[in-house]
Amino acid sequence: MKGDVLGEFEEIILLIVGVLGQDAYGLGIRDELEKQTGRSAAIGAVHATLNRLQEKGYVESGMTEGTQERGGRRKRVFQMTGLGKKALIESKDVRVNLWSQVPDLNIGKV
Amino acid sequence: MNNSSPDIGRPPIWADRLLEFFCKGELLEEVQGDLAEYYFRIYQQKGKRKAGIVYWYHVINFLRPFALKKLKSNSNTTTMIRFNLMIALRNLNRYRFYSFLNISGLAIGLASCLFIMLFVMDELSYDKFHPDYKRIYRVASDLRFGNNQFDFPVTPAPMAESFLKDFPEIEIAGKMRTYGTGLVKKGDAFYKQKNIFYASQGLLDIFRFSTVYGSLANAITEPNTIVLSHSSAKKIFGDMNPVGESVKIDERLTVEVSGVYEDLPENSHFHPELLISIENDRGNDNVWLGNNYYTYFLLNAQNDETGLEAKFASVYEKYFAPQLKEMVGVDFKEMMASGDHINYYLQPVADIHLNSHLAVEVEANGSMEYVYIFSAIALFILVIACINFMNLSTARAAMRAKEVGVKKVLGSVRGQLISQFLTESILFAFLASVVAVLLVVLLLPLFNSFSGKEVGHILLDRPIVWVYLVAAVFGIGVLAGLYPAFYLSKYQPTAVLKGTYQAGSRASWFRNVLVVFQFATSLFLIIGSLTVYSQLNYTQNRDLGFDREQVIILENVGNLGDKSKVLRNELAKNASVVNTSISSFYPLSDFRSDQPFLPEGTTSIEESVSCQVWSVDFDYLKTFEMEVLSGRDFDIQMPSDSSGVVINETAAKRFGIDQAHGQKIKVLGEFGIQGKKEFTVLGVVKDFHFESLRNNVVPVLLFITKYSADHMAVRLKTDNLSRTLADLEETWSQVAGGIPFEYQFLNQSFEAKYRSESQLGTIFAVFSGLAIFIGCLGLFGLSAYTAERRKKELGIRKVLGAEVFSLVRLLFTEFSILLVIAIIVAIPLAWYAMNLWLDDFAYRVGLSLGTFFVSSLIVILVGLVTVSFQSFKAARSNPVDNLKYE
Repeated sequence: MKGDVLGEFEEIILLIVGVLGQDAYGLGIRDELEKQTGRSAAIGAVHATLNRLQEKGYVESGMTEGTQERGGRRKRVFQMTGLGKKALIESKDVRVNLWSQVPDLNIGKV
Repeated sequence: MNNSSPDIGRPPIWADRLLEFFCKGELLEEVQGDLAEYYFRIYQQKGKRKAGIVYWYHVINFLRPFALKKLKSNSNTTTMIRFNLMIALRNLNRYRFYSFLNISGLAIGLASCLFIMLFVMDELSYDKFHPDYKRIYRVASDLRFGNNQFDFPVTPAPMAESFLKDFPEIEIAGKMRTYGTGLVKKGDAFYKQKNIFYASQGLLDIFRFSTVYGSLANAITEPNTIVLSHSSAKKIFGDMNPVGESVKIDERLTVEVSGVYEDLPENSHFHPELLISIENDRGNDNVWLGNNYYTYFLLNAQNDETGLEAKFASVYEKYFAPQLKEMVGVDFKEMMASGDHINYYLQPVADIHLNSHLAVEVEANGSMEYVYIFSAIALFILVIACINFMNLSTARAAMRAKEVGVKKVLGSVRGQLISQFLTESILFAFLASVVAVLLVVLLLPLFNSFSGKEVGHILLDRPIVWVYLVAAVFGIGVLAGLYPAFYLSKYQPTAVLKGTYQAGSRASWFRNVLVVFQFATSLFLIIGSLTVYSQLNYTQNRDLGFDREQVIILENVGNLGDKSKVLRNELAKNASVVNTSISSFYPLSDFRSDQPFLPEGTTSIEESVSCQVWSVDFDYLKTFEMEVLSGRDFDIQMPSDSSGVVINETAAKRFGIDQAHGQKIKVLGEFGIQGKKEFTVLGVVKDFHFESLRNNVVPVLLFITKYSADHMAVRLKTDNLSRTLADLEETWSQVAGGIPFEYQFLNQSFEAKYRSESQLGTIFAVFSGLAIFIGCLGLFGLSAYTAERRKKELGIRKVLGAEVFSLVRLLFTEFSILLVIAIIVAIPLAWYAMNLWLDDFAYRVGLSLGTFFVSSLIVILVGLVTVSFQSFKAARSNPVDNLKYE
């Protein structure tokens, strides 16, 4: 199933959710993405990805209290699930495995 | 962040509304929150404007599938529409036969309408592609001189320049004069070129053709310069840029190409293909008494022709009085006082195609009348198709009654049922429109060929067509569905479910009215097409006063110069050639020249007769086989015949000549014809037709010219036409050098002259055929229904001993009455309408009883054959099958 594969952008967003911990909400994630990778994404793109991750069960979410700069609106804060963590580890394993098989990229030799 | 700032404002309100409109409820709060937070951040960093733009960008960016509201949401309306559609599709599938009749009838109707709409839109689009078309006008003449009325779209040569000086309302003035067809010679090669005009630079400046090569600014201000259309340039020069090249026109005029313009689209009232500088046609510069030039004005203000037109009269005396006095010897004031008039008026360029029907139009124009007729036919067909729909729906009511009853018992209110039936009819209309569009696309080449147009591009160029189509689908769906919807939703559930309700009885009178209307309309159209055909037949077989069979017209004879005599002698040796005659004037040619003449013993202008003056040669009457009524034909043995004329019957009547015996007639005015002012009437020839039979025959004068002309008429007598033509061509090429051999058959040119009538005939016939076909589809469905409804009755009758024939008669009677009523209604209307149309023709057929009889017979036969299919089937079925279920 397509749903089980972690896309590149999804992987990064999922990692940022992990990095941010308590403060992982839409705009915060977008800011962090820009800070860490230099990529600037539309807010809609971030929301769409978070929505997908939630459908796949990699993150779960809850609403917090609203703040004044948001016009009193609440924000949805995301948290990585066990399944999400597993997907990240699997994804990393696949990569490390592949890395080690590419002779020119063998980190030990550098 | 500065939380205390009170003037921070709010995000763009419309962007917010848009977001609220499409975004899912459960997402909205967080999304709006994020966006608002971001907005205020940008606001503080970069200001309000930038923040607003960014906000809009991100809102639009949220138009992603995951964020959109689900259509399946639990709204009542969407559920109902989905449900209605489902029921409609099930019904469509269940009663396939009726669905087929319904949809195909409506599809054919819609397709016909679409075709006619394309035709009408094309007709209405003429000349509207010019950037300034609302300010462009052509000048037309309405002149009365003596007892002769002249209406034509040509004017004196100096008008363009003079009026431009006189009236500040005119921004640019342009003119052109017909040159006709010529031979263009490049190197040693000849190219036949049609639609050549002399034109002033003003004409190019007014119409602003798109340039392909060179420049059209000041392109033809110098003598011996030309501009030509892209297709002509391709024909003569191939794909190269011809600017600066020289060509020779008709062996006498060497010109240089200064520009090439894009061909004018088909929907233009003129299609000049080669324009020669007007500097090469300066002979008439001061002549106000001749009208040969098409004059166009570009006015300053739009649609202001009336103000300007009124001012024209103020300058007539200034220009006309001196020349009238000097050349004709008539005083301007006296002439006006005697009831004559000079009147020039403006025609908006976009009106020319449909509303100008004058002599010597640049090209044959269309007719507003036909636009109306075709639109009416389209409407009729659509109405017939809608009636089918209504009839079939109400007739099927019996089958649907139980459905309605059960629904009502379960709590449906009437509004819901109505909306269900309307959804159904809109779905049918939609399916029909899809089929109709497919039909149109498939049949487009056929339609183009019989209408003589190219209409397909309108489907792509004018998206409004699709808007109309969608509107039509809903309009027809609602209109045709309304009556069945109200009728069906009215049932009392108890009556229906108990089985006591006899559906269809009360609606039947309405259905009958509709059937009568359908067949009356079909009959009307059939009578119409038969009448158009008989008129057409009449014009084509009428004694025209000359024999048009086995005459060919050779062209380019003028280019032979003196060798034309050699050609003539050579042709005379051919056994298949009976006679030849060289003249530019022949019945059907567009070459015309008018001149007023005075009968013997008169001097005043009131008694003058305006005649067409045709210069011919000695063999003219023999070649065309025209009949001399009195006096004699020209005789080559009589040198004095060069100052003799042969006149037609109409001219004889106007001159008051009974028998030709050398009466004299005089040219009115200073200038004679070929130096002569007085002519002897040698003979009177039977009237022959040379213009559309819509017009009366006008006076014609034939006289012998010593000059050559561009055409040679050749009368043949041969059984092997292709062989003879090959012989002629060989003779021609021996004499003519490189000049191409070109000819036309006189009878074919004649048919071309009546193209607009024969197109009308075809279109009438095709669409009346379609109308009756659609009507029959409906009748077929209705008779099937009647047979079905009465099958028990028929079964009992049969068991009791009725014959098949008497059962069929029983079913027939019901429909026969309707058909008879339709005939009674349609005939007077058709009689009135067709008389109105025929009155347009100077030479027309009478309306014959036969036409009405045959049309009625067609309708009755077709109607009864349709009904008989079902009737026989019902009458012959085994009564046991019909009666065993009860």
